[in-house]
Amino acid sequence: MGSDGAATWQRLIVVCSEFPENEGTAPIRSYRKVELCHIDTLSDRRARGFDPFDEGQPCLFVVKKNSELYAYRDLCPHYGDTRLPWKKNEYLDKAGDVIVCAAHGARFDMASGNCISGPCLGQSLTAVRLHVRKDGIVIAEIPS
Amino acid sequence: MNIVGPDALIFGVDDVEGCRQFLSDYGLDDAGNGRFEALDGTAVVIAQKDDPLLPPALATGSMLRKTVYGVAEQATLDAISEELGKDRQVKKLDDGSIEVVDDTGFLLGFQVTVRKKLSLPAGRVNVPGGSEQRPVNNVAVKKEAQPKPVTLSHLVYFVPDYAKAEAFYEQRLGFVTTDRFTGVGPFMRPAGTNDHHTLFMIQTPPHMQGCEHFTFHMAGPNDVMQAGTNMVKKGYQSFWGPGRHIFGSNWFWYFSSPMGCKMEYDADMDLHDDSWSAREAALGADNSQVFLMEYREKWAPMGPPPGND
Repeated sequence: MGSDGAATWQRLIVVCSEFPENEGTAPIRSYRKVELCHIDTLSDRRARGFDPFDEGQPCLFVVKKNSELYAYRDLCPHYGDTRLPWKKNEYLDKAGDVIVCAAHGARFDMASGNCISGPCLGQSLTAVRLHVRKDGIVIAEIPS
Repeated sequence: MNIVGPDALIFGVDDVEGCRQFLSDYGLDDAGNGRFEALDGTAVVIAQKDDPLLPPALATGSMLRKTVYGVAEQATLDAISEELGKDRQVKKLDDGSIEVVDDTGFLLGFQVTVRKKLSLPAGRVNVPGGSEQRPVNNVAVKKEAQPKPVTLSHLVYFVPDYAKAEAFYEQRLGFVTTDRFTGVGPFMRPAGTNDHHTLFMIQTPPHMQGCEHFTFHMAGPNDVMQAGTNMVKKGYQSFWGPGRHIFGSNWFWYFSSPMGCKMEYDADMDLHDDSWSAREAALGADNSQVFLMEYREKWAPMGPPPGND
């Protein structure tokens, strides 16, 4: 399976929906729960992209900083269809302090996802909710 | 003003090692001291962003610190000094080049060009009935080929006021507008080249000022495809391409880079002279690409017959 830790996991994808109180109306939020990796395979001040739906390109990335995990869609708000890294997993500046979009140099706060400099000032990355299961598996909730 | 085109782009970067690897994988030769050269000696130069030898950064944080143009001879350098010296400081550097700030704040250098004259074979394709075919038994494709960039082609600025910027390059430096996107900015070429453009400008809010992308000419479309494919296989992020532009007709493939802007491969750009009349079009996909292809790793379902997996 190679060196990518994510690839060693049999990924679980579950489609979930939250319904409003009145029966018969459309769900207010629909999302898929996806197993990404074991938390121990993530390094501090490093990011990793994930391609849980085998699209050939990551659709989200996870950043670990001071034991906190943050996850965002791999789309720069500048254009809305641009992926951030210049190379696989290269989502951060050299020091691992901020998220960087290599296409035009936008920089984003790691915890909030807000653009702090560059072309999409005032816009934010789209956050992805994460859970860490008791066995250490990181689960992402990806809107359908 | 016999300005030939860009000789070098100087960047102050965050990740020197990442840039070194990227520029080497792109196909440039590591000439030492952060200089990465194409076949004709034109170059990208990188240094750590806090290196005291670097010119200051723009307030926007763009990593591009300086655009160095090559001119044909000393007389052009003297003419530029005289013209721009009328209303701004022209700094003479120890290497004989001059340094000046343009009307939108970009630092420019001018030097007698370092471009080496090249003698490359013309790319030939087998056109049925054509008079100039590729010789018989001459195989066009080698899977392991590592095509080299030939020469620094053009760069694109984000500018806060394209009309002001266009007027500076046209009236003070003799650039000619070859085509334009309405309300966005002009494609421009200096007098010393027939290339459709060595400079394109895109109007943006002031906080975006910087380098949008830059590119080297490859010897032909096949080299764009193969060099780009080599980059994809090494894990680099394709941004746009491969495809072919309409204005300039150049083949293109853009990659995101650790220089905070995109780095492109191009080939087979149109040539123009002063008899050309500039066209104008609205910016958009319909007017930017005659076609666009996408690299695809998986293109067919496959697997062993039942019972063999």
